[in-house]
Amino acid sequence: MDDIYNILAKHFLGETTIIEKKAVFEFKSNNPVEFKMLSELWNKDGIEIHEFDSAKAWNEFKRKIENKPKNIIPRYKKIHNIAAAIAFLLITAISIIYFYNGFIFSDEILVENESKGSKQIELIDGTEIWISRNSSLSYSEEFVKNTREVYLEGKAFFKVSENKNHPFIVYTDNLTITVLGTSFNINSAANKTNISVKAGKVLVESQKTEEKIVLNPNQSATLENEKLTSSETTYRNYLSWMTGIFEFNNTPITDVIADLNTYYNNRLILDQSFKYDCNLTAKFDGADLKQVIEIIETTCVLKTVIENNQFIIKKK
Amino acid sequence: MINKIDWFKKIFEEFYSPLCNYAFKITGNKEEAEDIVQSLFIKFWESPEFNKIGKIERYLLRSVKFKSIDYLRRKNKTQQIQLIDIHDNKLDSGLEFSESDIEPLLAYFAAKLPPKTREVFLLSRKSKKTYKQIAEELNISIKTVESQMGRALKQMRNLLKEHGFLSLIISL
Repeated sequence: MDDIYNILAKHFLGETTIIEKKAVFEFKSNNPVEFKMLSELWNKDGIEIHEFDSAKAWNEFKRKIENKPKNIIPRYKKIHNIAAAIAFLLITAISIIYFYNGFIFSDEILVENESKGSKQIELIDGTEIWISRNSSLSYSEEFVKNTREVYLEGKAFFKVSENKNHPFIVYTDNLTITVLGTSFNINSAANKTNISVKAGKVLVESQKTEEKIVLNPNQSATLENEKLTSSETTYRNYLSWMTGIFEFNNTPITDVIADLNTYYNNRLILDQSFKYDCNLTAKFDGADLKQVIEIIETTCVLKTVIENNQFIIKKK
Repeated sequence: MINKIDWFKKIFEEFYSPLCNYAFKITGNKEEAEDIVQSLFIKFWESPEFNKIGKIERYLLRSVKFKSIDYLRRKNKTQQIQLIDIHDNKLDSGLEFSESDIEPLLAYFAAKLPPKTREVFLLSRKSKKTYKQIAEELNISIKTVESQMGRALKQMRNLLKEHGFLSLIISL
């Protein structure tokens, strides 16, 4: 039997035999979306290829890289090390994943974190960034020259080195966050973007409505259903996904599990067939997950079953 | 271990012309397309992160797209607004692809086909020739035409998959 794609290619051009039509039909019912897309694209008119001289361009490329001074990056780094003040910034943004999002950078570097823990990188201006799992960060390679801009999908913690001439700007899908002062945090929950400032000043702007909010220490902003609001920060565990340090103060067990999962990689599952009315007051400091579970079990009278490396917590 | 310049040469040869085709489809300017791709490779070379980029093709395409749109924005402000509108519509409807995404990607796809496959593909899709006519013109068997066309289709499918079209639709 020929490769199914040979047959499909023929089918889209009306060249299939009756026997082949059967295979096409089978493929179509198993992969309706793929079939529809391919048939639309395959028959699309107006495909044109232009010749570009790759060999000539390669010579030009070689000439350019050989003539470039090599110490540009260290020089920048030195300047920024002198600036002593450090800004902290944590951002989480739940973004819709689709093909090519964002129009902000003209020449960008993409750093993706597909590992289980957080990933740390350092930018050439000395800014350190911890990227949460399943998150990615893009930034322009020229970003120190004018404004320092990065684009975030997911969750990250920023330790921004101060530079008064070049503000540090973080873009999410729907917000623009500009660092004005020295030290702050940004954070979020499901289906909304949330920013919390620890110290210093941050300007938050909705890209759609252009609404602006300035945040001071211990204040948060939330974007939900296109509405930007601000309030005092009450949530304590916004950095826990990175630090493993948790503080619970009369916190409902469902919230406890949700928080813990940000650090313990979604290994905790609360059996939803029960109703729980237990609140927990405790402090965990990067503890072993088994110890954490033991404390929860004892306090809330629960039991745990281990399945596929996950802990399923239910009523005793 | 392969050294940096040889590695770049390989990447350059593989992607330069397809990326130029992609940028040209967006910008409509051949020289600008070449400038965009050339300076992207320079940036890529200078980046301390150059060897940490996992999905090179995705990174290159994304960057060329950003740069091409940036060029349009500088050239003509209304053009940019139009592009963003198309983008938003795509989000709302979910199932439709926007023309602004597909046409450059198709140009890239066709330019990236291996020479033999490309020749057969263009005779079929551009000159609208039948398999039999193509086989006669190129003096190859119909079976070869079939397998070259199948290879092209498979490559199209892989590109769609790589760029999330297929997974996006399935997850909706």
